Amino acid sequence: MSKLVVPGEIVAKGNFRSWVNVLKKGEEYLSLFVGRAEISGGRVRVIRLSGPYIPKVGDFVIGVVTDVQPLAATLDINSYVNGYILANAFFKRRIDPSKFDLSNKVNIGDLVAARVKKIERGKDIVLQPDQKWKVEGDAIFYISPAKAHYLYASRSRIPSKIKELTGAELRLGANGIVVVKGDLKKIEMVKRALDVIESTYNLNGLYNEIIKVLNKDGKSADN
Amino acid sequence: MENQLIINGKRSDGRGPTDLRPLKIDVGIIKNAAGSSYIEHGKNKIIVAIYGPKDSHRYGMNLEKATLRCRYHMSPFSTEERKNPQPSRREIEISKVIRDALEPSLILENFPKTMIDIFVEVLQSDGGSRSASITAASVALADAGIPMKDLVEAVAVGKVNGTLVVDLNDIEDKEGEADMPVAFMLNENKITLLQMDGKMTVEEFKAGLMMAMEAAKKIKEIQKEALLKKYSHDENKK
Repeated sequence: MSKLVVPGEIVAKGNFRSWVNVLKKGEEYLSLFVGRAEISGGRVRVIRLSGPYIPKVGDFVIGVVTDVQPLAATLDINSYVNGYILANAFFKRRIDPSKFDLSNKVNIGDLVAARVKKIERGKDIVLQPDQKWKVEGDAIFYISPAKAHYLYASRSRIPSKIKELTGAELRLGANGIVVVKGDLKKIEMVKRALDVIESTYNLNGLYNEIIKVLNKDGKSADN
Repeated sequence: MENQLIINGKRSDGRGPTDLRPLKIDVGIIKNAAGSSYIEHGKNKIIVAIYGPKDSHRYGMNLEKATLRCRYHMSPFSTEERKNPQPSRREIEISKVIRDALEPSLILENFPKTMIDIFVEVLQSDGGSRSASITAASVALADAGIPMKDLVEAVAVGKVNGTLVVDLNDIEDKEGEADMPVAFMLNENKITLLQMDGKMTVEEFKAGLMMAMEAAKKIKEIQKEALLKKYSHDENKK
């Protein structure tokens, strides 16, 4: 059972092996965010319910290419920082920029799936393109990065359930960018499911709430 | 002759010396902002919006942490007589004071080379607008998901007709002998703002500080309720 907490509120007292999004002060653990506090197995954490996407090494993200230079492409990853993909990473080998043109691979406006490889000087985010890095879809949505990161990090069943119930192809980045492939009806259903995610702060009940909304949608569409 | 603002222990608006004016906070009222809040404290009506963290310009960029910027502005219609919309000396000072009062509560090191903007717009002004702005801005920052050690709450304490009073209204602010806005981080047991206009004895200062701290505890509860109201609204629907 999780409890809603605000910044500065005492989440737990005692000794814990690990803590996330809390500040340890003596034996007290204080929340740093508005979020849901969870205590289990010697671990205390607060799942934040708002805020920007904070990149972590290993995260799977979807970015929009905003600039292409001979040696790297810049991506908007829905965060306070940009992501960079080096040309070498696209060609999977060292390249001579005078002989290879990166704009043959990616262009401004393209959607790229990648993993966070390195965070340099706290701000420069180096990305490694995914094996299927080119993301194609019919619609793009943005959901709260805090919730997207929760869905991603907790290996939630929610994205696969949305795929199953809507029949749409879905790619969800930990940064809150969702790309949907499918016809208009499927896109509308996905949008409704994402609206539920956006408007619900009770993360425990999210799965059932989405099933309820999508089942209702499916029935009304059949009628 | 001095104005009699306290008669039979009651202040001009009927409050006792330690009573707060009615206080209401709403969270998340501006969808375009990363975080926002609206506060009604007495006759003060103030909107606060947070934008960022976002890419910082080279000028003013801090390599170690986010740069906090604040703009406190009074709307031309916020006072009885039209106020010139240009930022006045007082508004520039209050912008700095709000920023300085909030900065100790924030963990800005998580966002190097970025900036966070706090916009404070006073729609209707009464006494204690800087305190109300700090209280509302702290809630808006929490709504924006900026990591913070504690919420900051501010209140003014002052001396009116020789009596210490909490949460001064406009007339007490202007006619009273002293006015002392204080901002607290109660869990951390820290004071992040302390200003004084007028004169108090050391004993009065100490007693005033304790009164302010008691009032800040009540304000903190209202801040907390406002945040919980937004983030638990879907549970209340059921």
